Amino acid sequence: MKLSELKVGESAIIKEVGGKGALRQHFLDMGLVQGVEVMLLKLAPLGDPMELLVRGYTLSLRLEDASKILIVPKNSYCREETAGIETDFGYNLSLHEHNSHPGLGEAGKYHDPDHESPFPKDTLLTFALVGQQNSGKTTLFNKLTGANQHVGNFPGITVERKDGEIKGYANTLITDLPGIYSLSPYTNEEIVSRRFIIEEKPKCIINIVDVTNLERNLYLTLQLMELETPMVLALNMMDELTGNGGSIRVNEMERILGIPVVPISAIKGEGIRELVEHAIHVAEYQELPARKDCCTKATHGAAVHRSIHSIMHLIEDHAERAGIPLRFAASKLVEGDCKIMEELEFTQNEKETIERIIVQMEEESGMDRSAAIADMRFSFIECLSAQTLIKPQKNREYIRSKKIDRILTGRWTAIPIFLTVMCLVIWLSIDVLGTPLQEWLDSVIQSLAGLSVAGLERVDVSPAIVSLVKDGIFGGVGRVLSFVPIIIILFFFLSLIEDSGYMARIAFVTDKLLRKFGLSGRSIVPLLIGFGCSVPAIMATRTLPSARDRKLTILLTPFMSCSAKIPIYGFLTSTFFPGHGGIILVALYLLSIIVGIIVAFATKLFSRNYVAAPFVMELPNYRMPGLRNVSHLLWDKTKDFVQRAFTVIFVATIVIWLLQTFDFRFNMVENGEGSMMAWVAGVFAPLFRPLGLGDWRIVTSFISGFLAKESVVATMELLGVTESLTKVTAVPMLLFSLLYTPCVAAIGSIRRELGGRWAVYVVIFQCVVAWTVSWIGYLIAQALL
Amino acid sequence: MNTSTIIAIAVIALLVAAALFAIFKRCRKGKSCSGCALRGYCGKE
Repeated sequence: MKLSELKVGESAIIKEVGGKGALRQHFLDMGLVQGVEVMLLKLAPLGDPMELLVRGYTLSLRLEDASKILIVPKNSYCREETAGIETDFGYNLSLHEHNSHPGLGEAGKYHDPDHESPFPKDTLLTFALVGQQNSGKTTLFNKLTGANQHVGNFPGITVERKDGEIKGYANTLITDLPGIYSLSPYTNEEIVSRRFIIEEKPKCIINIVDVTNLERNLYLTLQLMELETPMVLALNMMDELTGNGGSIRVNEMERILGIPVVPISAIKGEGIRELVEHAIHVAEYQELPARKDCCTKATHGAAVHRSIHSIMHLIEDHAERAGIPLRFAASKLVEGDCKIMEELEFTQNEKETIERIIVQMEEESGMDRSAAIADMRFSFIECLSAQTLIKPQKNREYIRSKKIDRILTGRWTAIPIFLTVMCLVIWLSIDVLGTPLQEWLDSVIQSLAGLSVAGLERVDVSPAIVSLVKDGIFGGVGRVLSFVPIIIILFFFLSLIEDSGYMARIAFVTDKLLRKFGLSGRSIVPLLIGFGCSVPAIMATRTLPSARDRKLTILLTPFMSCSAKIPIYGFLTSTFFPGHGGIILVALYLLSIIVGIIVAFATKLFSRNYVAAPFVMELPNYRMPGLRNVSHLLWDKTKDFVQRAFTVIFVATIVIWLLQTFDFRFNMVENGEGSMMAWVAGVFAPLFRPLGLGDWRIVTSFISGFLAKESVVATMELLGVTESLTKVTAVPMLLFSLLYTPCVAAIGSIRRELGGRWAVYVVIFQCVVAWTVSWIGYLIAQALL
Repeated sequence: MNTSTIIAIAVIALLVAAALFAIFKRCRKGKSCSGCALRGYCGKE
């Protein structure tokens, strides 16, 4: 029976994990291994994906992906019992009582003063902060460094590397790495994180784990311990675990794992000092994990254990030459890691020997290589959990989340609530709060412009410079800055959605629909924000894990008609179609969505070897958004936007003002006629003739819209564009304005996210699409009007 | 061209230079060269 055939509320045991490559490895890394119990909690309102309960956490999975996993009824599966864990590490822990504190990573206990050799005091101690997604890394990073990095309740928030000094400890540098589920070479983040640890050689790894989801989190811990780097384990969210009546035998866990284990609550700042002291100690004294092995001899007749250790002997010299930790290299070879195989530079004979050992292991264990390694790690973790974790009787956060989810992801309620929430966000951000504030800020900026112009005129500054300040700087930068309130309000709501955990549910609910267009459920949020402003929408695509989905979402976002285009529609409809403004506006919005869908479809059809990115996503528990975190995010976004307004947009406005104000002999021109811009517009004008828009003044309006869409109407008024338009030509004018290239701020964002080449591509692509649709619209208008 | 105009041009030129410098600095830091989701890791830093 396939996992996709499981009924809601039913449980089963995984018999076999099928599939191949990245998806299969991801299944295994997420804890979906042979013998594990899974329960189907619910299906998304559209019937796909499914929400599963695995190892105490909820995971969403597409039915197509789930069909690759075979299951059996609970009562028909008999799992091989694993033996206990050996704890002989070569140092005498048996002297201590069963529950006494082993004291790893602390001064005095295991140091022989004659032989210890700590780093000199002025050595820079480097730390790598590593953990699974949504385990609280960035919260801990902020606590450790005093930084204000944004934290979210959505897997995969950290997409940039961040460095900082630990507060109160000079000569320390901690790096917050992106959240990873394992050290498998299947995602960029995983490759980069392991390369960072192996190549940059941090003096210590601080591994943060979410204790409310201990089993899956420890999977990464075991792999990190193989890297032969000093390490400290931070048990985060201990307050939540103990609050629910659970606990962890920390001393026992420290004894078994052979690394310092420190319970903390990153959000409350509890245990942070102790964690830092342990981390600095193990870094300074280079205390390596006492345990590297997690392959128990009793599992599968020790098949995995024997294969790993025999390969370790075989590859010792290669691993040393390549600078790759031996145990890590061996287990990755058994797992089938091609990158490690390449780096170790084996001869054909050695490759064949290794392959034979692995095949032997597969035969003996009855599992393939990847599954056998994952099973070995999870078997160890299960034993460790049984000995050290006192599970809470009830998980209040989980129960609360399930209650909320009954409504927010309910079969009949999910879509209406989602649509209501998104409409409310856009309506409140744009109409109710954003626009009045934007108009107020605009009036303040215009008053400042008036004062500056008056001042300049009083001191008899040249009219050209006055025009530059008035029309160029205040008209361009000022107008863009006036959009800061809309950006702040949009991001405020976005932050609430993200921090509460609702963002993951939106992706869950809309995934099936978006997949038909070649997108992932996670793309919905940026696309909706695009109706407000393309700039934050493009920035919001950072949460998309697949590079392809990210690029496609960025490509589609500018098709969603932004609020800055509303004045253009208003101006043209009131002039040429009075009394029909509302219906034309609705039709334009619908058209923008339809064009976006067609583009997505076309991209899906023409993409060579298109494979939908797997949608294997953890659904985090709902949490109350933190005021501090939300305000940090707003501050960051505002700072970023203002910085860009005063750099890229400032330079661009001056260039466009120069082109609009002067002719080629640098004489000032009246109303743009004869200006360099008019000449440029004249060059492009023939392209617009088939659309009935060949007048240079119309083209100039479009060009000025490249700077900011708001300036289209201003230019049209200034140059008297309406004189050269008719009811028929107003149609292609509306359509071209709806679909043509986004403004310079949005282009800047695209450049920032995807690079210059993509920014140019988006500009050209959108212009081509806009031209085609406008031409069709012109032909229809000619026939009908 | 009077002194006020020269001063105004100088101020604007300084602002443009500062903006260009800031853009250049951001590019050099690798903040605007992405392509992958992991800015700063691409080796362009």
